[in-house]
Amino acid sequence: MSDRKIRVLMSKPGIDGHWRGGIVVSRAIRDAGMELIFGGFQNVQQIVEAAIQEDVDVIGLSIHSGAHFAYTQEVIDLLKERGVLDNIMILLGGVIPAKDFAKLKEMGVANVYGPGSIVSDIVNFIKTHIKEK
Amino acid sequence: MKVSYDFDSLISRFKKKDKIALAKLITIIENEPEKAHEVFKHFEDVKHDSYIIGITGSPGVGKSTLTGAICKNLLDEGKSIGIICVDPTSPFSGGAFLGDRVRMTNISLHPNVFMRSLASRGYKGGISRAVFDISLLYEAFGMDLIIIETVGVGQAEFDVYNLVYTVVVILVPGYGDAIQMQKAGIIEIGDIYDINKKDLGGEDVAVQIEMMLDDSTFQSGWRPPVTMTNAISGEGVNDLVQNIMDHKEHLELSETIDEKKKNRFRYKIRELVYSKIDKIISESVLDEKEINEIINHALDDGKFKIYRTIHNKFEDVNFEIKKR
Amino acid sequence: MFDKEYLEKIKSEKEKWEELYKRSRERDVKFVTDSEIPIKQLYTPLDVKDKEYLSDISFPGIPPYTRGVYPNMYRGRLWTMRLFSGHGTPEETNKRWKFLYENGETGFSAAVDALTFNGIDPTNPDAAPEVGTSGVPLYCIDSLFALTEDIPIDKISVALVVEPFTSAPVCAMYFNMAKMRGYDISQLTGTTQNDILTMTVGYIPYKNCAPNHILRLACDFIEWTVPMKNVPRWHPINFTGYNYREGGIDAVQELGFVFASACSHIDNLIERGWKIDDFVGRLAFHLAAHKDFFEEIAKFRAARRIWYKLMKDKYEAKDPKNLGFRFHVQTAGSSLTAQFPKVNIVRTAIQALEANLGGCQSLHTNSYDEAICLPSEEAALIALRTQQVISDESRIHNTIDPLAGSYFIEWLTDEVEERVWKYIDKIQKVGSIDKSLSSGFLYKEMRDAFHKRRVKIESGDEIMLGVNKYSVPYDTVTDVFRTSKEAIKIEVQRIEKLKARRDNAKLEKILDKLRNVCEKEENVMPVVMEATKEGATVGEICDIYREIWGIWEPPLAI
Repeated sequence: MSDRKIRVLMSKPGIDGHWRGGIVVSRAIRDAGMELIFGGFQNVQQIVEAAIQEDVDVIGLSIHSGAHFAYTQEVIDLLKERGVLDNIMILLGGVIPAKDFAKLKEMGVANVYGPGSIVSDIVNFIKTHIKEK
Repeated sequence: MKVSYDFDSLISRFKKKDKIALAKLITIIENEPEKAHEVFKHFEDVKHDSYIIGITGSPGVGKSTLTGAICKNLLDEGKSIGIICVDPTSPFSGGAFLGDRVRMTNISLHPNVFMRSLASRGYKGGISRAVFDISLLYEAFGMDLIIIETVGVGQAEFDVYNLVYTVVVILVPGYGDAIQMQKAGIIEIGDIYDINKKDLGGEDVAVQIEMMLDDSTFQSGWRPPVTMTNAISGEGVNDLVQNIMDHKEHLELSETIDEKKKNRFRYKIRELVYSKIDKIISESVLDEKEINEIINHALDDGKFKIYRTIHNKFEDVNFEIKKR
Repeated sequence: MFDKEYLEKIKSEKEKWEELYKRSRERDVKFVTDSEIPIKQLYTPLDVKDKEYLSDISFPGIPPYTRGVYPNMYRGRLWTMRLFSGHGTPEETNKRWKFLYENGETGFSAAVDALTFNGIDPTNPDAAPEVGTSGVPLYCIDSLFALTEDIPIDKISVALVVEPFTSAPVCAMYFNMAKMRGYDISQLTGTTQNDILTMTVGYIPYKNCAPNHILRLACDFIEWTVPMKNVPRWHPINFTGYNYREGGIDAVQELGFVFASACSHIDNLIERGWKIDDFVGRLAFHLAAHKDFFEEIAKFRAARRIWYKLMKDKYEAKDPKNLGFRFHVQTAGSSLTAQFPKVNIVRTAIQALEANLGGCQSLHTNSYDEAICLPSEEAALIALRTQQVISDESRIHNTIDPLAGSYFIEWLTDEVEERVWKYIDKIQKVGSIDKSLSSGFLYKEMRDAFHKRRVKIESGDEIMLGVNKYSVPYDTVTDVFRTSKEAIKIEVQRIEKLKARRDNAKLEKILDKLRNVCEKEENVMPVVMEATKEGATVGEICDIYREIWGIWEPPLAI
């Protein structure tokens, strides 16, 4: 019998402090029965180390700084280097131009949520796409 | 795209101190407790004891920040540390917000530290069922120290008391009066009392604790010291760490540590045994459905019959234990 | 204001009209303001019958200032058209500023990047990817030179939108640059936002210090510029409710927050020994112009009355020049959508109109691509023209405060004022502004407000066209304005050049002095002026604050 819960890391790479979205999504994830590990401001190494130690299913990156390509690529590269990329879903949220969504998905991001995204969409996406390990 | 981790390779990587393997084994133990014996049978030749510290207090006293400051101090001395932080699971949603890691970002990349955030998952006492198991895993991993950080204050805190050797109770200025503290059962469980956020005051709290301690008796002659810290600036943390080490030394010299270890094992063994019994009873005597029927009947003016009903259920059963 | 008998007549006629109204349809919509003040179908003289024109409404430039802070308002001088702007490098920003100036902008406003905002140098690898991506990097005195190249800073006011954590170093660099250019800084006009609330809630600062230190830094800056007469024409603070509105609070809460914050700063300065009239005249405000047209206008008018009453009754200011509430407005960024962004031009125009009808002194209008990226040149120009259509084509400013006397507007102004007083009380019960922060009270108010608003939007109670009505996917047609990738390299090199030519030994001694000053209760500005003149970077100054005061962790309100 498995008591398994979906574990999500919520993190902001860099220093830009627009946290409303990240906090609201964190709350929704908890309210949907998942375990949300709040990482706060973390650099790329700290994000990956947290994802490993907490054995998360999802990494949520909250980015409002305009530097989404740079950070996302670094996180993905480091996850790959540590050999854990394949089992982790990466989601992006924040002020990200829709024009950039396709390229981000090519890089390996599962989905991108821009301003005004419906929070329950994010929760449902996670629940639908994370299967039993 | 899912990679399933081969169990044997996890064990061998774990023995080589691979943190990914440790993390994965924690997940297995937390979610599939029935597999625990399969995991631990591989470590039966490991001879290592970690020293276990519990840090407890109400939400908002700065436990996580203080734990991070304590760890930094110990890491600088070359110790390896396994941290377990427990936060409550929401009884409504079954989910949890685990917000301790964020307070320890500055030590998170140190090679000698490993931290895991746990949700209580309905377990009482401010801890989770997996806490003992994970601390045992940390011991198999070879950690010098284990720190278990939990929320909560009050009688329920007796649970973390059972799983650690030194209990540090954290308070803050304006905490309340001595009667409240006594009612909350705090005084009985702390080996060290720390008043955090000392920049806001706290001398009055210190005085009240000392007064309470004046009226208590102490097993093994250890009178809990009272320290004051500011976890953010680091003030007082050295003294707190020294007190923890002093307590460790005290337990070891007075040989009380063995009692603590036994207590820890007794707690777990009891839990394992009860869990097995619970399963057997549920399968062969009284399952959830039947219990609900009895409850409904009790609601329907049958409450005085509860005792007789259960007594009869067990009288009707013949227990026969056949060893294979 | 009206004859008693005539009022009785109006009352009975109104009752007849109400009968008619009952028999007609009413749309199934909640008729409330954004802050949930219920609004009747009609307002008449009956709703303002107890008002006295002379004591409650009066004339512009005369207490209680309901109609405006100057006697002549826009008939004398238009508001300052000041677009918040900055990106990439100081050189690029300088170009954009010149472009806007040539097109009629009348004031400058520096939007700084996240590193400048938080006091971090680009040599920090964790922060480097964000150099110039959300504003202009102003890390050292050389940056200020580049930013203001060929810009007549003695003739046009410059707003430096930095908050207390970095207002000392960044403004000290600005003042030093001005001196080195030969300007007399005692004549300079401009503004520093210096707002404690901006950097603590909704926007969470990165590795800053505890609120009591932030309040101290804010007051140090106010003290040094105005009552100590170093830059007496400068506005050393704008109490900013804008960012809070962005976080979801309503108009009533916005005024509550800014007035509570203002009182705490004033109390701090009075504790330092200053008299209210020594400094209060230069304290100004920064408010939002949000979606609810009339409520925002009523809010601006109510604000003037409330401030006057605070000045007169609570603080007993004597100088009439110090009783007026002066404010800058930014149109609401959170009302803009990334879906069908051209509609944002309309939203911004309506909000700009609110600001004008409310009597603002300075106005920033958002660019339509704001929800997608930093403003492109074209979008910024449209935003500027929006203000100019109002000033040059609409003729609404032929007369001062044209909405005065509207039964609805006067009633709503009173209603907002009453609610704000109650909210100020609620906040002040928690303590001074830094206590309401460190106790977590303001975070909880923000979180609850944001949650409420989100529920309203997701349920369709609050409409956002393109998002929850006539919804369309995100726009992919509009060009995305991207900041220069070279910015990191350029800024790191700028700092390296500076470090190579400065006297590092001399600077080290000055920084030691700063450590000393931080531990005591001395004003930090004189030492920071010295340090930045000798080439200290913003990161180096702020690292000293961190070293002495420790890094504060804001409470997490989930």
